Amino acid sequence: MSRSVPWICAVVAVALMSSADAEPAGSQRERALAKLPNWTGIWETEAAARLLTSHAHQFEPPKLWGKPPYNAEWSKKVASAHPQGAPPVSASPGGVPPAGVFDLPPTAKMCSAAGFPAIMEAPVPDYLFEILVTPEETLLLATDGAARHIYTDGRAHPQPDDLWPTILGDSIGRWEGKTLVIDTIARTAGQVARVPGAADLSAEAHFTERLRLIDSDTMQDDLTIDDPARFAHPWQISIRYQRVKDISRLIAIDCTENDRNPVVNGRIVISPPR
Amino acid sequence: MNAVQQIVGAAAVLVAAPCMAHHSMAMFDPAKTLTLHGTIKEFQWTNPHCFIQLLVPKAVGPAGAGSVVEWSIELNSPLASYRLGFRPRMLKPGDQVTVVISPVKDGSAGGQFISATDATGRRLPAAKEPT
Repeated sequence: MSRSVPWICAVVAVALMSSADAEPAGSQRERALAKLPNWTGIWETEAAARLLTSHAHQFEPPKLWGKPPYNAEWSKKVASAHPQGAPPVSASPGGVPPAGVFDLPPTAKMCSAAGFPAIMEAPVPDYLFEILVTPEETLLLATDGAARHIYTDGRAHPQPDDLWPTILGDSIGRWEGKTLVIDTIARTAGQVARVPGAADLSAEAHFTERLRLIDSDTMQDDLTIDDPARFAHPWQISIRYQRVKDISRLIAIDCTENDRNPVVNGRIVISPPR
Repeated sequence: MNAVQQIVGAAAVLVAAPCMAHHSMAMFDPAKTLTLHGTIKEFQWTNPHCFIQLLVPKAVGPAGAGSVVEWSIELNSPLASYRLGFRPRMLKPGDQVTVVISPVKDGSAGGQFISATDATGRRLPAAKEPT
């Protein structure tokens, strides 16, 4: 009897190690994972995909750069910021981007982390993102290094004392069938992009998204932004994505690596090589 | 053939490469194209833009004979360039190439990449056609 004790202990130890390392087949977590859609892969906006193969420089300004439904106070503020008239960037909210060749203002550069919600509507085909869906969270990883965590384990947003604005905000989500419903708060106040005329949001803006597959290679995000401090009513935008098939892995980009386009005397130039 | 050929007119931008718009394109003149025949000095495979440093002989004539001008030709980012078929070691120092660009408006030796061919006339990269 005494000789069998070490052997039994060894069996118990191996069993404990196994349960710690791997989920038993048919576990609750495995069943939860099996119910979720597989969005694994790299995605880009349809506008970025069109730009990649455009032979006519058809840059399409994001809908988020358009004018949101500001209230009277903020409409006045925006108008005073652009006394010549309409901001240089205009897009129909929720509609079709303006036709024709578009350009940024002469000294505009887009070389910083996009943050949210801009990360969801990148207009160029090197700001891509990969999605990983797990029962606990959906993780959106972008080429600019951003990692957007959307927690789906039932947690609530942090309490006010544990929460402060960030460029990605705080996101929690829940599944309605195969649709991920995302609730985001605590985004840093300011414009969605450093472009004149781009929507300017308060830190109290509340974002609701419905993210779902349209087909195996197409995804759609229906985004509603409610910002009572600045909007007369919620702003609704739909963004389409397509699966990226010409690269097999997410490749990081870094705008600081070799920026040879300084602004000199009010215009962008090409500087000599370093 | 001159080392630099200039074509002016909207019809000249038919083979324009995509604009990636990390910055305004106002610095380039989309109504003009230049065709540069030269030698690769360096191919910078860097973010946010790749660059071709191209040594182009000065105009033919006693005054310019033997001297070269270094052109800085801006392409897309490495990731976007890769997606279009470029590879980081595709262009090597010493390679003879012909590059078509939209020049910068200020007259300096720079421009935006439109297309390129190697010494045999093969288009670089093996361009992906629009879908």
